[in-house]
Amino acid sequence: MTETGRILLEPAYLLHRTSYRETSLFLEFLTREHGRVSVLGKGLRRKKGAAYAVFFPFAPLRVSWSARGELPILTDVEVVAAQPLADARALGCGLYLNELILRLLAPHDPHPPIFEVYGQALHRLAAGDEREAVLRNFEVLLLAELGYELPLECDIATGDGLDPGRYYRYIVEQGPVAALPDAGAVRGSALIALRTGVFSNADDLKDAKRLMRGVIAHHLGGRSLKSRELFKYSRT
Amino acid sequence: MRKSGAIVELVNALRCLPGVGPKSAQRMMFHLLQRERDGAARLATALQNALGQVSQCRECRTLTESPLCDLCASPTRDRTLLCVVETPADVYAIDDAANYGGLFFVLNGRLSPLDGIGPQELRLDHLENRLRSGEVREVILATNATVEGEATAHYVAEMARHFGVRPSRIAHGVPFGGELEYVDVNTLSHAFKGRQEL
Ligand SMILES: [Zn+2]
Repeated sequence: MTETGRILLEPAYLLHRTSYRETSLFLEFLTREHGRVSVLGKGLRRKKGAAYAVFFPFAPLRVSWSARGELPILTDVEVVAAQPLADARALGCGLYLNELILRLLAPHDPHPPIFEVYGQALHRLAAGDEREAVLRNFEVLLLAELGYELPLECDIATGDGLDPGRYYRYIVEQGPVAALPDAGAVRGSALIALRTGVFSNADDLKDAKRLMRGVIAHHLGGRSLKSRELFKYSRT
Repeated sequence: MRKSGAIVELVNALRCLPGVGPKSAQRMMFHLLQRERDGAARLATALQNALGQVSQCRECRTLTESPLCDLCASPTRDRTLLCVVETPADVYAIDDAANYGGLFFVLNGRLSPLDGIGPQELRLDHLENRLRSGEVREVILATNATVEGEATAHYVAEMARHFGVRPSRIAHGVPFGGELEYVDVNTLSHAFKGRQEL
């Protein structure tokens, strides 16, 4: 579905930009009311300094475009505030969020809650919150909003509530089943942390990371996310 | 008028130059074939020679005619300093502008996961081996101030620390001679966070 007409000052974040022909930029935005939108920024690469520096991801923007032909054309952009991610590790996490959205959210599928949750995740990263916890919360909320909510309420075999001290095997799209504490199992406390968004220890974060990696790979048809490779030398 | 095959081919070939569209390519073709035939012959030979002789330096990957570029072969450069840049053009720019006596490493790109470019695609194992060898003491990260440039700098910095090499990043901020009022918020906020004691 493509839209026509003029959109004025739509709240947006830049997810990605690529060069288009000699002088233009192909800009991928996450907008509040129109979802993911690709817009052509004509002649932008000719501009120097301020006008060009506007196109840095993670800064809250207000974007105007006109959608008549095949590709909407950018008509105006205002920077609401500076991009908040000060250190490079946080920038890497931001790139990971952007890649998740580009891979999981289809164009022109509006989800205002994703826009809000994305903004909150950026602020938490900027504020120095535990990065892995921010990423896990974002993943869970993004998937839920896209209709892939993770069943995290109870043991699906018995119907019992999750016991933080027990181990579970997580079956994608079905839920947790009590299991022996082997390599593939996750702690009940990690599943509860994913549900509530509150992580209290490093073991839970580790388990949650492994679990979410599998879940996301499942929804991406087995492909992995490229921005993970940025963290090869990172000490977590 | 029907154009001959060689003319069409030349016009199309000229369009590989940056900023050259069909109209300017045609103007260049007329210029080269009518008024500047000697120059055209020199251009053809020079291109042919450069293509045959210029390739990547085996140490720093900048453009060079010998297996090792002049900088890498020089006995007077400080081999404990390594400046990492995105393109060979950056080597020229820094060597001209900065009073820098160390060596370079050209990435020939940047890490850009959203475009499918990771450490393997950039062949960063080259740089890894260089840092592992123990000769380098400081890595100076002079990648662009784009999100990809920053992510690349961070990745190489962590790699450097892993091998006991000290990483540093060139400063970014208000352009020299620039007025604060006209600097965009991202640049200004970055410059503010990176303030230095005087
Ligand atoms: Zn060299």
